[in-house]
Amino acid sequence: MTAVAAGTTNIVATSEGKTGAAQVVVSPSCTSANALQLGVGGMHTLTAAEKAFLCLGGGASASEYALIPFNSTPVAASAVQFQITGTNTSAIQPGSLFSIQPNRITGLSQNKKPVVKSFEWSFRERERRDLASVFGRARVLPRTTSTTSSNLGPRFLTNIPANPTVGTVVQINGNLSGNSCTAPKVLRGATVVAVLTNTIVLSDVTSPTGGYTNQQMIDFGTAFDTLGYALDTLNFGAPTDIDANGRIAILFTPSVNSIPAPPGSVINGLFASRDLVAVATCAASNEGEMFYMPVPDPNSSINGNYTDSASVARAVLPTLVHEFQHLINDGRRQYVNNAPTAEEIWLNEGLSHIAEELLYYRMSGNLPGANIDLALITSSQAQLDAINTYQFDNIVRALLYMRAPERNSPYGQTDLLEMRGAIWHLLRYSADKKGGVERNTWYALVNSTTSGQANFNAVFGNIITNARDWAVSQFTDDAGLGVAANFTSPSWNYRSILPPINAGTYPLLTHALLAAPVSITLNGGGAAYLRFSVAANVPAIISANSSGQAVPSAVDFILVRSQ
Amino acid sequence: MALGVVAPLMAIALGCHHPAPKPSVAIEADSLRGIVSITGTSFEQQLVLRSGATATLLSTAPPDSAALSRLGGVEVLVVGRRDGNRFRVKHFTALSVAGTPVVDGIVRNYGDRLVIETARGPLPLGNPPAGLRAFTGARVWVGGPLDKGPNTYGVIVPAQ
Repeated sequence: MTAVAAGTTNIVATSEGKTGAAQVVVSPSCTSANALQLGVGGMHTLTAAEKAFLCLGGGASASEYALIPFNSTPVAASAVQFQITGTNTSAIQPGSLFSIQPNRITGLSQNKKPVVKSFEWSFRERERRDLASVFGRARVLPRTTSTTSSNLGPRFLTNIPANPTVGTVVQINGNLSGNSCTAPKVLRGATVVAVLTNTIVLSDVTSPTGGYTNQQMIDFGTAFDTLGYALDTLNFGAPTDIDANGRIAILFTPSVNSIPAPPGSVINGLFASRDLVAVATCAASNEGEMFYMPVPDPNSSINGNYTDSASVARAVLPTLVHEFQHLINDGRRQYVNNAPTAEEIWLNEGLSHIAEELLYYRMSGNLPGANIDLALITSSQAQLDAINTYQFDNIVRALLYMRAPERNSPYGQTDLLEMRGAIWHLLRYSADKKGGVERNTWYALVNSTTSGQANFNAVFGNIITNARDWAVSQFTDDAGLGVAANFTSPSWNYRSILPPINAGTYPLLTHALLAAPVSITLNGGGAAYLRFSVAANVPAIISANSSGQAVPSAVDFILVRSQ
Repeated sequence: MALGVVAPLMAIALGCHHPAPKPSVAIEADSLRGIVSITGTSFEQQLVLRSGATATLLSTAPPDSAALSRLGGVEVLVVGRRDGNRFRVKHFTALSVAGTPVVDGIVRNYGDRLVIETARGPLPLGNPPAGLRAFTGARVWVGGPLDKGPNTYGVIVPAQ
């Protein structure tokens, strides 16, 4: 084969039914004179030709780069594989760009149970047996077009009286086996512990001994009643009131404890959409706005996952604001906004994680956009308590995502902790970028008749563009590169707060791009981070292919000079 | 739906070279075509098929609900019957991803060759991504030119 000119072509050979193919790149000369030169902090999106052959650097001084491939396919399950090779590249210098930070002793995450990776997945596997079409059934009920919560929807006979007497026992379906509508009711006696302005607190009479005292449950209810309720309604809208009691019920019940979970894992609480549907169409419904919360089980009478009462208690308020977003979202889509379906899970869960973050801001006194760093969150015991209690789980989920950004996606349809970390992170990034009155942003997302990417796009603009810039920001934010605002995360300094809970290093998964090909598989919305340095006066060549062919156009390559 | 069963209505070019197949689907009276969406929360999930402005709730047997939940964003053909406001799925086939036609079948290793086994026979992959070999025995969808790649893919049912 003789090369006659620079360019790229594909060779396909077939013999006896076997086919082989290869992309052949006839490279132009690569010299410092024709190499791509970027200043520190400079970015360049590679063209199709540059993905196959890029001549880079080799200026008067050595330089370092991050090459960030991003799969812009809107389908998260879509995987593409490709290989990247560097010629005349070398490893970055140790310590470059905060790749390693000192492991400071901070007190962060003390007394927190470890997050069990992807626990929700197994929970989901169990729960989707029925897929009971609750939402569709609910649509047969009359609706109002009102945009307020007053006098919404039908009035059902309810298991929860409007003004129950404290100390009386009501009957609630506590069957949380997962067959949401068709599973038989398992009525459990629930003692009315408190009747507050917006909340009724109920305690399952079968709760194990050694659990919450009545006063503890009253305190939980009061915290939600006076703080969580206002926080969520301000940002997401008023809840429905299908049982016409003007209140949200909180049932502390061992039914939650009994949901199968891996050892060491807990379910901090849940909202069941079934309860917003009439019994006539959803037999298991409790026909009222309510949450189910686990109870401490210090003697392991059910299992050993809820023995630490303090740990279980600490999760109550964040969980309630999380679940309240789900309740508001679902109820308003059904009865106020007449949306055709419930929200897609990735966005629904992301919004509930935003609710947790909003609670953190409220409790800590910090604000979005303040680039919260390690110094701030460790500046006092109160700050440390706030981050550990209200925001730690969001931070850890983001960390889990950063450890595996290639195969996970913010719009992933598989409910993994990594996905949740990513979508919370992307929603925060997108809201910061959008600016304006933030609660209007959250309200718009919750009060939409579209769902999923269409909903996101209507509020923030194209999700692919947002996700790509956000993916780049995970490398460039707070890296001292002077990049444009699109490539920053104004609210959180992740390079400051993540290393202390990740053995001293920034968790973003990176690869060294050297002479040996690096094989990358990216899911839609996934990104990879390849780092390399180029010596002075010796330009490097970067080349990529996918099974010997040109890398699919859906994969964007963003090059960032980092030093 | 048993593993390996694909809708018989997808027209796929056969032969040594297999360009990206363009499904030609005759929609049955009890079939629907649309993009899969998974809605709800972790606790309660619904499978929805979106087609234009229409959203149809899908009801499936557990194995198919698990498989369909891996197809969020993928265009599929579902075959079954309507039941009120729901559609009960008997079986389904992945049709396209992000507008690009895909083949739905089982990954098989024939000697050193990787093929996608469909109802119409095996379709050889001329230049498959190395990662696909790890899914031998799994039901997958594959996009892109089958004869020379590059191919995108996704798992529908993991190998048993």
